[in-house]
Amino acid sequence: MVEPVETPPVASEPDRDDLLVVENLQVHFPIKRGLVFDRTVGHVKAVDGVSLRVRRGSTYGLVGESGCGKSTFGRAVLRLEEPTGGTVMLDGESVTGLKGEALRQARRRMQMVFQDPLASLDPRQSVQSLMIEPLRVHQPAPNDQLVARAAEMLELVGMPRAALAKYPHEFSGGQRQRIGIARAMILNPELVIADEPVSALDVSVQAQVINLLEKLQREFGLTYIVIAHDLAVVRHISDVVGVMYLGQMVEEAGSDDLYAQPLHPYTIALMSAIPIPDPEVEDRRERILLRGDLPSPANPPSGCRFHTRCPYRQPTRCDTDEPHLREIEGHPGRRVSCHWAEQIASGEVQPMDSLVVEAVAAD
Amino acid sequence: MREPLLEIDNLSVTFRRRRSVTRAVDGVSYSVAPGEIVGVVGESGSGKSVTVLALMGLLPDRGVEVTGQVRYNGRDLLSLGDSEMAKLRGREIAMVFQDPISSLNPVVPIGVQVSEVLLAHTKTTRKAAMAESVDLLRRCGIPDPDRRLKEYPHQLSGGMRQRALIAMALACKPKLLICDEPTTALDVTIQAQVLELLKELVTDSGTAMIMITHDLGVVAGLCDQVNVMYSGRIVEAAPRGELFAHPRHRYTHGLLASIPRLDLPRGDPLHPIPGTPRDTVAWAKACAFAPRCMHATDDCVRPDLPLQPLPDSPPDHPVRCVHPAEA
Ligand SMILES: Nc1ncnc2c1ncn2[C@@H]1O[C@H](COP(=O)(O)OP(=O)(O)OP(=O)(O)O)[C@@H](O)[C@H]1O
Ligand SMILES: Nc1ncnc2c1ncn2[C@@H]1O[C@H](COP(=O)(O)OP(=O)(O)OP(=O)(O)O)[C@@H](O)[C@H]1O
Ligand code: SF4
Ligand code: SF4
Ligand SMILES: [Mg+2]
Ligand SMILES: [Mg+2]
Repeated sequence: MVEPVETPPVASEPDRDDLLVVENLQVHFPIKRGLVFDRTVGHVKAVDGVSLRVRRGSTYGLVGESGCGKSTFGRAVLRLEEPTGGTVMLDGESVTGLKGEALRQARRRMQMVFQDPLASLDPRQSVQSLMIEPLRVHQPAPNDQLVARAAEMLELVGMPRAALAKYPHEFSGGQRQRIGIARAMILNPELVIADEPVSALDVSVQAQVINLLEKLQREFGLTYIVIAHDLAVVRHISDVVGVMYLGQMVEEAGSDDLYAQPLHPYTIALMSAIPIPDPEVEDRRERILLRGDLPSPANPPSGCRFHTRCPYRQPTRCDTDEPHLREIEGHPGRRVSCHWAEQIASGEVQPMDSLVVEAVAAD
Repeated sequence: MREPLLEIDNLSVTFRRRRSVTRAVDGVSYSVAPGEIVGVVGESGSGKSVTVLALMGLLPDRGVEVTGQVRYNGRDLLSLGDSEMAKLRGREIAMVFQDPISSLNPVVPIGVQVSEVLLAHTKTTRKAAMAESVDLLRRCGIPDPDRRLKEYPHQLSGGMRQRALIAMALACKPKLLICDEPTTALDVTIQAQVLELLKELVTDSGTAMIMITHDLGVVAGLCDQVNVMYSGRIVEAAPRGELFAHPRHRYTHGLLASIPRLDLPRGDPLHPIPGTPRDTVAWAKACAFAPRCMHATDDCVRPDLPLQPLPDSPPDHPVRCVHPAEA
């Protein structure tokens, strides 16, 4: 494999406003074969050199196809997964080499909210014991104080104190997610990584949880990374959105800019594919279809990883040179990993006709 | 208006367990004509799937009571025998479910599964059926179909399995295709491919299609006619343009206000609907949405509110609401 010549430039020098700075993060899972001895025959490059910065008090949204490495990235930032390369800095201090008590302290400052609130909560534990468990570990105190704190947190997420005596299965999905959020917030974290926080919820309940996350952010100055496949949700809640493809970041932009003018071909196709609940808009839209499926992250395509499916693929460079995330002139705050980003932005490079579908009014 | 191919008329489904009685579907009526896509939206548990399972004869025999009528091409489906129904299911009516893995045979290669459907429905040779299967799989967006043909379901990705299932559904050239959340488990880029394919099918072959989904975006882009279900009943029905431009039922209205939109300026707060779908009352007592409705009054506490046209909406836009949103 050819090593990247340059590390992808990050927007600017790190400054004190950045709570989280991730440089070139890698998580490669070994693929083992063999009956007696496990031989490593290759690696799943789940996260393969991702760099990003999250400003204090802001929300960074992470999107991309299933299997592109979003969850693994989130878990690696929290050291729930051991990175195989790169660095993670929280508030100017490296988390990467931490062990023992220091790692425990860093973990208190970073919490995760999961997709399936039931699965992440032990069904045999009462809400009270689930809520005070993290406090016991990190901030031991007399029991009545812990319980009081748990009740206070529940109230904050709109649940009655009486919920403490109940069990997870007694609540609806939305209520369980509130409890999951209350539990993640109880240690006063600075960074919260929410992995698909609303995708298991009924549509009519999602907005309640989104509003709750926003309220908590305002009240406590929290910094968020929100991972979700629903781009409308991500755009609503995020200041900056990063788009991942096959273990790498392919585009990063302010969340309004990203929809207004996506520049990476994958982002363009993704944006065009998202259905909008308005027939008038749908009837005017043009869809750019992708061919095939996500290639295996164990054996990513040569050159640009997207070239096997890219509707804008060019005869040169695409299948031979690996593009790197770079800034694009005239598009401040944006990074794109495509050789042809400028030409695509100007319209000089166009998608293949056969992959463009004009909307036809159904009636 | 074309003659409907399928007419669901006052269909009700009740599940009886030892202690509990659930009226999952409560007097639902809608119809589909050839070349038409009818959408059914509503949240989890509102009865979307049970409605179509009932008309396909796919509900368990015990502990289930189905009433009402379902006319298909002039025949009453509910009174058909099991074998007649099975014949119809394979030949004229096809279904695509959300979870493709449970609908495919795990030990038979994809190609054989598709060609068996073809063999069962057309007089053709095994070889010709195989060739047609390749073509079908290709049309369904499966790259490299000659090679894929020999693979087993577990060797395919979720999106690929879903497209294989659609290929099987298309193989019998159905007159009626019922899709129950066919793209919910897929990535949006794959969803776009699958929806494009289904649209093509309806346009080219005049298939009648029922599309069950919780995604209002999918409905907006695809369906001609939309039925909104809540707690076992249709609460609002209209052609899609009318429904999205002038949602009248408080649930539909609230739902559209609660979802973020990709194409609108950011920063407007979302307006959630309070409570959860579990907070409901029996239609026999009151509007089932009343516990969550900010416009509920004593007038909403009446048995069996009717689904009826409103004076200030077109006649093909009936609504089941005492205090509808403004037109
Ligand atoms: N423990 C593991 N061992 C081996 N491979 C793994 C492991 N965890 C994840 N992977 C692989 O790494 C890749 C990225 O997975 P990940 O769960 O991070 O994706 P994702 O973007 O979160 O997807 P989704 O949207 O489906 O949640 C996938 O190919 C996955 O199969
Ligand atoms: N076999 C069954 N026995 C008892 N109750 C059932 C059975 N199948 C469905 N139900 C109940 O019927 C109601 C309607 O279920 P249905 O599956 O039609 O909902 P849906 O609208 O399709 O929801 P989803 O969006 O989750 O698929 C639910 O309350 C469900 O619990
Ligand atoms: S570098 Fe080439 S293949 Fe890659 S995204 Fe750009 S145009 Fe497509
Ligand atoms: S009938 Fe009453 S409670 Fe039901 S949706 Fe209309 S206003 Fe709300
Ligand atoms: Mg994930
Ligand atoms: Mg269903």
